[in-house]
Amino acid sequence: MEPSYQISTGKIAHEKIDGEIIVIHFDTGDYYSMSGTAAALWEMMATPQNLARLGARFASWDSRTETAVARFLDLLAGEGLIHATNGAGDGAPGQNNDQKNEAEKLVFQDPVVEKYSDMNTILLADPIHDVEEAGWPKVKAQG
Amino acid sequence: MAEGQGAGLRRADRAEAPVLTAVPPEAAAGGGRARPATGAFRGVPRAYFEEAGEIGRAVFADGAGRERVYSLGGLRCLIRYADGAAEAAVHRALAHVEISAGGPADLTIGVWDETQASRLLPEPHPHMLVDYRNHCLELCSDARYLALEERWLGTRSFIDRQAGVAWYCVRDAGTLPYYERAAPLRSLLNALLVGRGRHLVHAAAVGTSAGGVLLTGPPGAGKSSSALACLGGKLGFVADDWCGVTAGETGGETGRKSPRIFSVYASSKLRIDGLDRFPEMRARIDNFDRLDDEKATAFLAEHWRSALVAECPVKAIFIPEVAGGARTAVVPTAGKDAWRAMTSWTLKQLTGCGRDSIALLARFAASLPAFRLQLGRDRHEVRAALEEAVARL
Repeated sequence: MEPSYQISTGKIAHEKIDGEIIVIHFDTGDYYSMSGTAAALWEMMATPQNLARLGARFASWDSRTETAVARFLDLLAGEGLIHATNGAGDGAPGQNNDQKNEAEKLVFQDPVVEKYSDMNTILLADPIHDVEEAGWPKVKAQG
Repeated sequence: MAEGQGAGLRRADRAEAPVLTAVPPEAAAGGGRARPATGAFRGVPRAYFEEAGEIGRAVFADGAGRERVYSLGGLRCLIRYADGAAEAAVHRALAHVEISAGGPADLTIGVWDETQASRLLPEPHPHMLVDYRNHCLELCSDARYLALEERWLGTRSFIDRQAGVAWYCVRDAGTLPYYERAAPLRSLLNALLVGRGRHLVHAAAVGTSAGGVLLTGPPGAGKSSSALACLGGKLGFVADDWCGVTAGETGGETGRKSPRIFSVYASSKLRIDGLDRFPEMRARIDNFDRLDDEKATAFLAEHWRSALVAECPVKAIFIPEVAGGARTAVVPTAGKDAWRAMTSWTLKQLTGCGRDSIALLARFAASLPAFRLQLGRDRHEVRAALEEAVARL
């Protein structure tokens, strides 16, 4: 079964700012920028999507574009921004409501995500020190 | 994937100044009196908050004190001052948002000056001193409680974010520097606001009841001078250095659809060379005898009360920058630039911010267009440019 991918929640915040998707990773303090096709793919992954469903949204879709998107998904997954899921999303193009009329389809451009680390001392927010009643810091058990 | 097919990760790092600097020496403790040891074991945040609360309640039981209620972005914030020194240090900057007492408070803060108190706060447990950011030690925290020590200032804050209750103790209110008097309780207030859909941001703001703009960016960019340039014109003064924002969202606690800005501090700080451009400020400066070491500080509610705007919808984020030319220009820019400027300069200077802060600031910026305000030398042109932009947006 072809895997589906979905935006990871919990460790990231993401917003569309002026047409550009900004994704902030809380654990690394890095942030990412995506525009155009990359932004469109990101927004689609609000719900689980496999390659076939993602491809169905574009006017041109062939082995080259599919490879480009597969690599893009691998990159996002490697950065911890999306994850593979067993949720909905399987199925061939044309078999779901995401299938668009030709006029509504998007022009494909190779998706690019830019990674920024210049704010990570700031975005690595003050840690919340979760403690038990025994207090902290926790001393690592010997042996 | 083969080379040259375009999809990929592009690293685009940019240099940023380091956040950490040397830890300043600790101020002398409470008039030379010995502090008791803490009984809060190893920094359990709730225990430390309760220990501070016990002392705070004893301090307030000692004296008459005074209560004032302020409106902060629609929240009723009750501040109980245990003594006149504490009140004098905090109230002036907040005076313009004071409202009548009565009705339940959303936030309750007890403030006292330790030189006036019969009991001293305990020494923090050594293990509590865990983080240091911009002269502020975060003593300990969990999702609900936060304890902060601003050692440079001699202040400690104990915050129950969930209940909206906090204690603020200053070792000697008479020694609080001008910048703290101009914008007191920043990290404490923000810790209480962020869980309620609001945040403080490092920004100036101007506007009318119909709408205003936020001016954000690094120190020296021209935020204060832009806001002051608007005094006497069509736009009121909302903030000089720290402004409250309410993220735009439907439903939720705020029940508002559009993002808003609100005034917290009606103070203004200018570099001494800025007084040449704003000669009308000279007679209003609070610290004229200390300008060798301090920025010229004015409490605007005491001079321009009618020019102050407590709250309004926000239409855009502006990034001022000194262009050096004769003319002032407004140029569209990427929303990401406004988000970066606002977020970096805000989080650098507030302690206790977490994921909620980052998400809220991104949500706020996402809802607004962004512009660069290229400042010319003529202050009247700056005012005209902002008035025209606000009218057009």
